[in-house]
Amino acid sequence: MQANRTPHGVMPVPTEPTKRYGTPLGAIYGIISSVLIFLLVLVGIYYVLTGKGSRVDIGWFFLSTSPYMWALTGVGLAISLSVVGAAWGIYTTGVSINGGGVKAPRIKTKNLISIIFCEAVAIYGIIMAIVISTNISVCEIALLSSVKAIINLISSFKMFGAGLTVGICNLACGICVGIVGSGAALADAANSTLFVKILIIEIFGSAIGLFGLIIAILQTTGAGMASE
Amino acid sequence: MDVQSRMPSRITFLLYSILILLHKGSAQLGTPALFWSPEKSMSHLPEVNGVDPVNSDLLEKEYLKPLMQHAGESAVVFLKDKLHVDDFTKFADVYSLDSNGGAFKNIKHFMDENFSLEIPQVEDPLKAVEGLKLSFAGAVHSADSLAAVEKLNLGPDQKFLLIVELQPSSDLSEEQAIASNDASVGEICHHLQKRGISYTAMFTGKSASENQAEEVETFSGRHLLAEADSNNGTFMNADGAYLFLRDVQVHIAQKGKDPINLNLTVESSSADKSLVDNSTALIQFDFNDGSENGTGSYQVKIVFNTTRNGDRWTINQIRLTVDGIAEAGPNGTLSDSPLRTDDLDLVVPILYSYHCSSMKMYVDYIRNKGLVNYAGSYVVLNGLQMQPFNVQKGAFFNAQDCVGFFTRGIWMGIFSSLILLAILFFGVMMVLNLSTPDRFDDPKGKTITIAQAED
Repeated sequence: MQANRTPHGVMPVPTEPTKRYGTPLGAIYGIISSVLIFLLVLVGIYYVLTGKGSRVDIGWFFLSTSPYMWALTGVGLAISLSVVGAAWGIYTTGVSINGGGVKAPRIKTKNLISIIFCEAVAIYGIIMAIVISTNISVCEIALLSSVKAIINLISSFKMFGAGLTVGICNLACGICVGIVGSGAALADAANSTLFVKILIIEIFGSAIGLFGLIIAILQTTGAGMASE
Repeated sequence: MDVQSRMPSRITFLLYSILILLHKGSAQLGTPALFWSPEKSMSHLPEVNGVDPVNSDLLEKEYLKPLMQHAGESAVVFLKDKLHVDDFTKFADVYSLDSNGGAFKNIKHFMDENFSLEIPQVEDPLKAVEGLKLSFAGAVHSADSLAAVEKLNLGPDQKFLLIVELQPSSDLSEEQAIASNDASVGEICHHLQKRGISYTAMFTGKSASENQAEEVETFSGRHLLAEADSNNGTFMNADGAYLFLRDVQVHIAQKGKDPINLNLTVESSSADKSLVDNSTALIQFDFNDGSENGTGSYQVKIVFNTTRNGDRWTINQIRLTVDGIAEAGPNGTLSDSPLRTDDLDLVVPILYSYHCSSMKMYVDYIRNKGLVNYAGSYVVLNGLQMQPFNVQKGAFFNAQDCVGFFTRGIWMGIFSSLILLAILFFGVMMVLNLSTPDRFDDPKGKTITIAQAED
């Protein structure tokens, strides 16, 4: 639902596609999620009412699944979510620069700085992915004493957490910088004195990506996997 | 007149309904029973649900009595010594379109030409036939060949029950035996027809022969389709701990020597040396007469080291001792050797028992270097259930099974797949959100032209 922004006296023109093709997406998501939740609740009630609640053992899941799954998922999430954020930001800004540049070609060089801010987010992601993955080492799990096995598990969960942290922070940062940059480009096209002040907003937006990077680094220190 | 006959592949239909049963497991199968009658329509008889075998009382009441006893005509029962579904599969030529019945051709001919009925599975038809014999109002004759039937001097006016026991021939192959029995059936029925006797006939076997090799699934864990005869185990009450064990197999692999396989039997005194106190329990199974096909004498001891604290009890370690291995070098015997239990979840809630249908544990030579010579040795405990602490009301409480709902690998796969599915869903949602700019679309307006600026 888009806001009606047509000025008074002008015939309203639709701002989103007017033809809907197929079943509405919201209904499909609603049906699928309701069915899944229903099944989960049913299984949960079955386990509780038959006295087998202890068999729903999330702790067993964490302890039994391979630590490598967690570590590598963290690495994957670090890079992929950062790249998604960067891409989103770049295409949001890029579209505006392309459009505004038609009528005001002077904006194109100055506004590349917004693109660079978005790209920095992707760079944070790749740096963290490399830093996190240096902690992964091969070990013979059966040979580890129980203390070292626990250290293995701890480091794998730390790596997962670090990857998730940096990924989601960079995702948000990228989207934010992109939308602000898009607005900056169009404002610059209209009035070139606005650009420098708007850049300050972008800097604040970029700082949050840095926060994610810092916390992820704190999480990965001491997350070395114990080898034999 | 009912046109119930004339179905070209009666035996194929019988086979089809029987095939459903073949996948059911190893339960006692019954024999098929085929009925035919030149005069008597069988459409009023209850329909057979092909999955469950018809038991003999039901057979007698619902089928034999209406067909044979209350009829105003005679009855013939052909009893083959062994009849099984597979005999039709293999020898009745069921897979060709216009077959004549293969080894069963006379029977097929009768079933096609007359009113007929087939019951895929009957339990113990002999009992039903005996019941029919007792309650039959009329003469009961028995015979075993055409000559005996001819001697009986039967006529169309007397009502009789004729029970023909078809002879097994041990020196013929199965197919030839079936064909010869089938030929007897044909001869006897033609003889009766010649005499003008109207009859109702039943062809069945005295027992089902299981001549089909059943598949043996090898999996360790929980056998959900356990046969009834393999639930026997030994219950032991050791100092307050409740134990149940069916049998134990030990495989001892020694480097450079032949492996030793022991099958140990469990007695009710096997766990007498266990010690149970307030917070620890040492469950010890002793087997003193282990032998490999009668040779050698081995004493095997399996010790479970369990502790209880708070809301759980744990099996901390399981150790194996085998005495009596010849030429056990100084490099270590199997004495108090720990077994690998890495994959087993041996932490059990406090009131629960631990159960495992088939528990295979290897000797832990990885953590104990001294056992390298015995690498590959294992112990299999079948049908183990133990509850060392907090036995209440004199019975095992609910069991924590060694086999979970999903294995850890399945959970890992589900976790990774969910991540990928989330990515897919988000991607698809974003792609579906794409739209082309149509703000200035006006199908009736003139097309836009853009002035070409000279660059």
